[in-house]
Amino acid sequence: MPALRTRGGRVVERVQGADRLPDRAEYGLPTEPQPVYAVAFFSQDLWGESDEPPWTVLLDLFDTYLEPA
Amino acid sequence: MSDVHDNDGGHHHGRPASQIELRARALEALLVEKGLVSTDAIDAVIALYENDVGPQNGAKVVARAWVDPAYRERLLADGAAAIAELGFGGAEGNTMVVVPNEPGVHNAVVCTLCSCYPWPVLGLPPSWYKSAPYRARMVSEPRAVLREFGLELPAKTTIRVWDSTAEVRYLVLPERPSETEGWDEKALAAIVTRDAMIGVAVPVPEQTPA
Repeated sequence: MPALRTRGGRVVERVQGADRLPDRAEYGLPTEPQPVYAVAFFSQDLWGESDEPPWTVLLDLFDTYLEPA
Repeated sequence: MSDVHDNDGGHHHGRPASQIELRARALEALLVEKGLVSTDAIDAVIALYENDVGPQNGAKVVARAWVDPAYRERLLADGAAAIAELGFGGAEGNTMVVVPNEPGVHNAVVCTLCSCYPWPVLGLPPSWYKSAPYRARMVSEPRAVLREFGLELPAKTTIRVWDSTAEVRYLVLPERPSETEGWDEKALAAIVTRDAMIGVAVPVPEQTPA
């Protein structure tokens, strides 16, 4: 996923609810629930042109991971 | 590496244990020795997911959604709540999103990070689902992966690959085959396979019910 994340998602498809950020929660650190979004990435943006027709990859991303477009 | 689904599940008796198996055994022995977990607890979990919880649960959910439009609506609105109506739920199924296949739209599920999978409706994941090639290639060349599973989609079909990177667990709601008109829920559930609910296959009616 880190390789995908640096290349920019395009569309927030749905809000998945709120969860505690595992990056902190798993270590027992205090963390408030934050929104999680399903963000659509287009195959051309991720991998460049392909011989195959384009497809979409959707990642569930915590609010912390996102920056304003 | 081209083939991602030739090492599917099950036990492999009569051959040397792999590095992973040896590591798992060593960890289990250590946890038991330190009193952190009992072998009875491990056996109970394995028995539960081998005998009682598996894709037959998800198949019932799909069959119900096929025959009951109101249930389908509830399932798409709040997956976990609608799945709980049929008595299924628990760990790895608290936030369920059901993604419906439609004419021209095919959904598939992967966990690129590890092996996240909706246990209450599908049981434990098959080994290919956890393999690095499936996890990498399902996002980078899904059509090729689906082709290896025997699923050739029309070029104009949109493929949507859902990567379970947070707490949401996904279930694909396949399209009901047109040949199944008039079938009851039980007959319908029988054609809904695990792979169809992961999105690497579609249901194929093999015979008409008596």
